[in-house]
Amino acid sequence: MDAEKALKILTKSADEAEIFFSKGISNDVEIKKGRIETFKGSSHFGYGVRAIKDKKMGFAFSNKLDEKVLQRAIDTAKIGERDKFLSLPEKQKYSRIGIYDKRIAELEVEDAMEFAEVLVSPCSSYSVIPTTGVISWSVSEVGIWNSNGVAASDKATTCACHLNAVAESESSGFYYEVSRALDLDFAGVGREAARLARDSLNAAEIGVLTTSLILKPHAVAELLENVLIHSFSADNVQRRRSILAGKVGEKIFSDLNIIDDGTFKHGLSTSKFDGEGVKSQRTELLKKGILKGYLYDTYAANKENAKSTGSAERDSYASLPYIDSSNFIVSGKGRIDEEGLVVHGLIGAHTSNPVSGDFSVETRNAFLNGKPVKKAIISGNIFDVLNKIEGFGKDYKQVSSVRAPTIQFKDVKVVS
Amino acid sequence: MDAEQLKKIFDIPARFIDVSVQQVESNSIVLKDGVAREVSSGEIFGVGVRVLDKTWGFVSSNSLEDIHALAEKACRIARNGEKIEFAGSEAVEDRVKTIPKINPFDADMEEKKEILHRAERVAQDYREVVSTSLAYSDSKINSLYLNSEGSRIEAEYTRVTFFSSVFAKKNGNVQVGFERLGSVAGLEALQNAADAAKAASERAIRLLDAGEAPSGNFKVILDPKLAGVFIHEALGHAVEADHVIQGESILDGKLEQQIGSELVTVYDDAALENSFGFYFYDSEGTRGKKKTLLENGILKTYLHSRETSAKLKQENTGNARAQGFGYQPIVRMSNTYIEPRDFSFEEILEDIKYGVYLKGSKGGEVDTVRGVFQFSAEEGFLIENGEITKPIKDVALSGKTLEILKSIDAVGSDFGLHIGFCGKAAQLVPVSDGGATIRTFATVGGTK
Repeated sequence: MDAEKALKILTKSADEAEIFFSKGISNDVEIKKGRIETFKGSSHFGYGVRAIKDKKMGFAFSNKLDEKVLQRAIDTAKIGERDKFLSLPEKQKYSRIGIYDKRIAELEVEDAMEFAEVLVSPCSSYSVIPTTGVISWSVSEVGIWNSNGVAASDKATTCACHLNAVAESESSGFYYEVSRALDLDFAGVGREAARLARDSLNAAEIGVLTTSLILKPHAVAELLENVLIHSFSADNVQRRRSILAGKVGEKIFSDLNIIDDGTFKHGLSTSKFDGEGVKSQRTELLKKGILKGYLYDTYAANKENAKSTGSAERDSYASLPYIDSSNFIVSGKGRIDEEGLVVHGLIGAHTSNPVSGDFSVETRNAFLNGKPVKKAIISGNIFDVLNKIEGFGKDYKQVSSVRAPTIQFKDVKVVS
Repeated sequence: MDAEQLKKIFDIPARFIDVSVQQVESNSIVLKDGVAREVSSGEIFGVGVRVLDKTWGFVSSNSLEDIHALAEKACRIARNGEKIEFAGSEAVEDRVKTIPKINPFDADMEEKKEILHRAERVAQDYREVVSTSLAYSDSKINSLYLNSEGSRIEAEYTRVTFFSSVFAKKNGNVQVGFERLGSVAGLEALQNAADAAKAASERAIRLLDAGEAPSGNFKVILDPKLAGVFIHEALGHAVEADHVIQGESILDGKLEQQIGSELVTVYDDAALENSFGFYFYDSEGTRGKKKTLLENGILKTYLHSRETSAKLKQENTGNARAQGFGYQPIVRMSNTYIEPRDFSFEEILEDIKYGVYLKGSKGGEVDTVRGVFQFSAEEGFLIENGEITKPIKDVALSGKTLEILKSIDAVGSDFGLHIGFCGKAAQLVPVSDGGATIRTFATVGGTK
């Protein structure tokens, strides 16, 4: 059955209905102890169906768009409870967005095996062992149709690699890169993992101190994803779960800019439309430290008579949309000198408190004034720490939704 | 399920092939601030094929139509490379099923929704509580496992979970409390949902007045929940034999050695009935069972899959688990816990001059190469002169696995298991961990 026919059947009993479709192919070539050990390939597809009747919402999913899944959507809507703000978006006009690279779609396993060789090649000259690594690539397609006239589809590609290298069974180095296009520097990623492993040898304890903290782009992303993005969700603001509630127009950070840009060229979170079919857009969240607004999906926008910012994220066809950032781009003023504790990655950033912004995380590949550090917990509160920014590097990177350069903070607590 | 069309896959020339077919049916209801805003229901069908020739190939699909071609492609690549060792096994034919007392798939959705409403009424009955999210979910997995050795295992698992998060606010300060329940069982496992939601509310409220935690090296007491996370993160991951083989474990070469205090005995028990990490067979057809990891501080075994047991020439422990049909089985834990001893809580507490008592876990992570772990407690209390004094918040614990295991100088007589989803190599599997209250010495990272 096609989406159009499904919508016709659904709207016989539902007031509004939506069909979401996704399919994709993803491939991995895995390396263990320097050797290619596994090829993985998967092909997946499925449908997610939303139905709203009398302002009650139901959702069903299946690998087949058939009568059964439509009936499930109608049945679950009867269990849902009335909420007058539930609705689906209106018809949209979309812009073209380039997130598809034909070279990735046409990649053969043999090509990836060659990339894997290139990825591990720098290890020998650093005398480190490449323990685990992956080359992965995927092609995906999404489509969305609703009873208000939304009809859209898009294709995307992603390519990623990571390497974990170990030096003298004592220290490890981890590095990764992700891109929409086939432009990854595999040798560069291998070299960085190898260098971090070797440079982390003979690490020393540093005790308890307060120091300048220099977070490299990967570490910035790991931290902000876990402690900051939550607070910008309008749903969390409306439900009084965000510390940023009621602060629009206030200067909350010294000189920080944050833009959520779903249209950013080649961005990892760039898309033509969001998980409800709303056109992707550029939303200013923070300008020179002043809070400009929040991220909305259709439901949250209905609650305050605002407009969706195209921020409905969907993990898969089997899950409902929720508010999340697209490309969360961080910038600001000031220079960095990298004198202090330089941290390349974080361990346990997901254990931070996304509500209060409090974090206390272990570091990975940390160096105090160039010397490797054995083990160090950095801790503080993100809203406090973001007021202590000394400066920004120029080395912008994106490995997740956060796009950021190296950032230097002053006076952060470190325990070794 | 029609197995006939899958049998062709075994005609592909390879050393070993196994096939996992799953039909998963699931339902969930989410109550946001008292309103059932999200109700979901659905089913997913899929098949995964693993091919071992010289090396591995693994493919999966939501359709039986393209799986044969994918498997052939995987095998073409698996013919190259250096030969991976693998332990063969006798063919197993079995049909197993968990029997829920109150089967959620016979129950009305309204009844499941009522579990949440009852819990919500209890959770929001506090002045400070500003927002609640309560979620119910159930799943029924029907799986068929076939392999080129002639095994055929049909299994059915019914699982339920309950999750609550409660936000409390006072003077601009917002804190959150979480609590979850779950089991390979039916609705009977969620009888205490309202108590769990209440505990989440009370914790969120306590955190509003909690002070900042001190930083430094202290005597610490971990409640069973956090002790479980510690044993899971610090010991459990390091005994996963794939980490050992990859040179990523500090426990390499330490079998039969005293690595922890004599007070510490730890099990990993996949056969523990009605637990969250229970399974009859692992994802490559090996029976799940109870293993002693540490016996009075002596390391007794690693956790194995067929591949790792062949490589290390040790007995396969049946710990190869996959998140689902779309994932390759890797070495995982099941239900991991510390055996209780006979210390009362007062005895554990009395000789601590200054330390911290940490409860619950917000998760953790471990670097098995360095043997360094980090995890965060949900809440804590200062201990001064043998007494619990002020509540503290946002406190992380870190340390070196071997040092902490050796420093355990008291193990309580209490016992508790807590559920979670363990992440490794981008796969989540249901586990539980816990045991008794323990006392040790570790680095505490507070915000003060």
